[in-house]
Amino acid sequence: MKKITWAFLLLLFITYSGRAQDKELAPVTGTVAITNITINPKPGEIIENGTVLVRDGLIEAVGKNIQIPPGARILKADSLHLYPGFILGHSHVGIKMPENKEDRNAKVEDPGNPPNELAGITPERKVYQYLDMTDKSVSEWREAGFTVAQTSPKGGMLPGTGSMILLGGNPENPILKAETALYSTFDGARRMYPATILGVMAHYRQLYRQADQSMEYSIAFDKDPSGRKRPTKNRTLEAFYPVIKNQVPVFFKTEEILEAQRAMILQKDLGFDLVLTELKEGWDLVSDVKTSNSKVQFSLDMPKWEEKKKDSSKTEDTSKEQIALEGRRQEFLKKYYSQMAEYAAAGIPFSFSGLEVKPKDVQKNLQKIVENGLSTDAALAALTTTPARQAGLDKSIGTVEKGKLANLLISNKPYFEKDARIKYVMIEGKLYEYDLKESKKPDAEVLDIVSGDWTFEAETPAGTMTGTITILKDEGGDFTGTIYNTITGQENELRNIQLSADVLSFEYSVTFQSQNLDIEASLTISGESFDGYMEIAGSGESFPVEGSKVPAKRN
Amino acid sequence: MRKHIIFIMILQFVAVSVWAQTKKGEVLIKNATVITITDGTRENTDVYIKDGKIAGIGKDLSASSNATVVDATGQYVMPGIIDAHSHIALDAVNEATSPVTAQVWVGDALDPFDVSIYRALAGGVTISHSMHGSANAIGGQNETIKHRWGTVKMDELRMEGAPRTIKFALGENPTRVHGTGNNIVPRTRMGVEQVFRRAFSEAKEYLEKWDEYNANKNKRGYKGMAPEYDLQKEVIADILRGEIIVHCHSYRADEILMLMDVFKDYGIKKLVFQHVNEGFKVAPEIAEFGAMASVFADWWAYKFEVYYSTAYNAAILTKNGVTTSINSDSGELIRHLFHEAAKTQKYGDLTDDEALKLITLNPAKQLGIDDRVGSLEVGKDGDVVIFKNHPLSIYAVPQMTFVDGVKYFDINEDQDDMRIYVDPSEEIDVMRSRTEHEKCMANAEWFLTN
Repeated sequence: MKKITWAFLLLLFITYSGRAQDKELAPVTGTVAITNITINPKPGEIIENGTVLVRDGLIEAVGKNIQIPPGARILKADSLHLYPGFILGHSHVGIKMPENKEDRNAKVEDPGNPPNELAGITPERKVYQYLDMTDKSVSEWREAGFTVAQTSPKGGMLPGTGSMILLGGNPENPILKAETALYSTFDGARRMYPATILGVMAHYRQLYRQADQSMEYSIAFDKDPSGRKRPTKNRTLEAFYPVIKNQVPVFFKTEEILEAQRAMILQKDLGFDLVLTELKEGWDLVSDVKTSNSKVQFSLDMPKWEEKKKDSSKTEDTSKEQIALEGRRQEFLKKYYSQMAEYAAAGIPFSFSGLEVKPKDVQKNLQKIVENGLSTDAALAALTTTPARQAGLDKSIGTVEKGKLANLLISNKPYFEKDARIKYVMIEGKLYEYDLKESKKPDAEVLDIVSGDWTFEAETPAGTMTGTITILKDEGGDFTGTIYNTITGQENELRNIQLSADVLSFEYSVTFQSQNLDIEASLTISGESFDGYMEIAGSGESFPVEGSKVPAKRN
Repeated sequence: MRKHIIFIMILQFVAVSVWAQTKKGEVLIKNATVITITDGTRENTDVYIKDGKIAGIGKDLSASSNATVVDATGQYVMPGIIDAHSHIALDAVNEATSPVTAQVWVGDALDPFDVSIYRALAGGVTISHSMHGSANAIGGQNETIKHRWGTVKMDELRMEGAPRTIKFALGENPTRVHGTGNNIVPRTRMGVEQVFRRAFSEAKEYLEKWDEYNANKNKRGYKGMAPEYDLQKEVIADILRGEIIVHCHSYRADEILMLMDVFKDYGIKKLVFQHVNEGFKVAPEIAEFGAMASVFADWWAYKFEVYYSTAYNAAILTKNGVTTSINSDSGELIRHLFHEAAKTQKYGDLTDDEALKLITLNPAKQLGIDDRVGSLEVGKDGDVVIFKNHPLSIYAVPQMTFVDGVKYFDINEDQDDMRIYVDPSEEIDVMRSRTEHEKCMANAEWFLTN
């Protein structure tokens, strides 16, 4: 009985939360001791075989030789690695925006002067009005090791005000800081002012300066209302007041280099605190960012890293021109992953944003960023201390230190190492456990039948698509394959073919209406037929697919 | 607040140049036929550019060891060509949502990645006037850009210190977009006139209110409210103050006369007509007003209001004393403006200098930058182009193009892949199905189709 640890007992108490993919471990006591673990309390520091003591959602002690109070739950974490829970600099996690389909096709009488709601100008909206902690994005980000995220509303040029929220713990009280960002984009309105980047830039100046003016007047009025005209209430303009007072920064969505420059032009004109969020093309902006004193959040949504395979069958018809084009493509692909190291070298602190990335791709992308020159300490800072400081919350989150919120991440190997998996996440003392089992082995009968030709039919937004999928198993036991479809008439190579239990999954890319689409398929095989879905990566749009095996030709 | 606004304007239009330190080059072009535009054409002459400015024009000039030396024996050197009407290097051209959008500025939408910049350089063009489109009666403010190809910085494209200009439009475009498209004023040419008159009157009132407020605000016990800040009216007020040059899209003689009448009523003097295909009918009136004209060499009949014109237009305007230029309005025509200028020798017998002024000094005057560019003179910017054969010859081919003494085009070093940035997910499609080079009504299409 002695050998049965508390940790094992804890496993018996698991409660399964219906929506979440994690196991939420019910608290037996408010005090938990995580022992014999490698602790990374903050970037650049390591405590081997240490203990973290958590009491009532706060970190009580960190280090070696910590006295464990009687009654504490002990989580023996030998050979595991502990980090401060990650902080996502910016996202749309956990929100459900009201859908208003009428708005999309709304036609206004005077497109030059539309109502603000239709024109995408709603800075007065607060994200916490739209929070839904049961949304699956919350558990997905938590599973990826993130304990806190800034989240903002979406839609239009001024979608609203963002908050910092906890991605677990007490779902009744997720808000860490209510107003942390005035979120802004360069998205124009549909067929009304401001429709283009020209209108958005001009209107931003107009609103900001109008707000500046009305704030000044209302201050003067409050001081001495006698003899003054009563100021007009305008909730759109009032939403700018905390920004004008430099209490809340503007988070501008600036994926492309020109958008980032435009945000800096507005910042220079108007003087607000600027965070360039979801930045993708930042490698040429190091000096501009420094001079303008703006803050940076790199997008975790990155172009697919394709390892160049030496494919002998294709070299024959590869012209010099193609080699040069491919060389430039590789050169630029690398820039997306190596720019963070340049910013770190220039001493510019940055964090990460996840407005578009899928949480399950985050670790892979971070590891590639580290492979491309960013130190693991700098990467950890971008995930913990920097976003905590950017949000003005560095006293309560971002490191594993006494007095801070018990937001922790525990992995089986150092997080940035290949094959490292997250085992536990703790948020304000609440522990979530993840199953580290490898993906299931393919079923024997499925393994038998999968190789060969399959016909399929899919209901895509562009109409019914039919075609053929060919799966081949090579000598090493790996799968290769192609997919042919009637809509584009292209045959495309399959990537990342996986077989798990009875599910065949793969990815491929098609060019449709000169757009490159990445498609992810997941097909459940049953006998000689399958059904499942294909999803256009990043769009959230998926469509059903059915198919059946083409009988093999007999020789 | 007032101080604030002025400060912002200074920032917007002057200070941007402070943080964008553009490249300046040093080059000695030897032994060319030098077409100065303002001081004759000289054989076997050198042009020396130092720190981006023309430092000497003469025989056997010497240069510092830093200078790149180009032997231009048998070749022609002329000032960089200036295009007074273009829509290249822009991410958006029309904010077509309202008949008056003076508050918008294409300087916010600059796109240094547009390969049209390089194509223009290959046609010897060093400066273009990137304009708002013609969907609105009062469109947006324009930007005069230097073709510093290869930069990724919007600010490095701007011609630092160039005066502000704004786009106006008459006739079918604004009436189609707003009248026919949205059923609002202007539906007719009469409506277009009223749009101008109303905008100017309102801006005048706005100005007066601010003047009154500013005069009183520091008086003791004054408790008035400042007029509500309005960026659009600020800009139109600056037109009334003479701080912005108006470039107006126009075709018919009657509407050209109408606009000059409106401007006289409001005391506005800085006016350049664009296209102005019926300018030849009212050339003396345009000259008397002191307006200028920027035309196509021989392009008309592409819609009803421009049914009637002549290839003699540029020559007639010139002979009547109107400062005239020939423009491209197109990413294709911009590559051979020197041919366009040469057409005035076939249609109108202009001299070499008169013809070349149409694409150099005259557009410079129309943009208010003739003290800096448009001719080869010591102290002017080192914007030059070297031609094989005389630029007005049908065999003329630009060889090298320099901006501020920096070489941005060399026919012998032309690369296949001119992309500045490469999108790793882009599939390269060598077949181009459609080339769109006329952008005057870009971003306005949807108003025309509903």
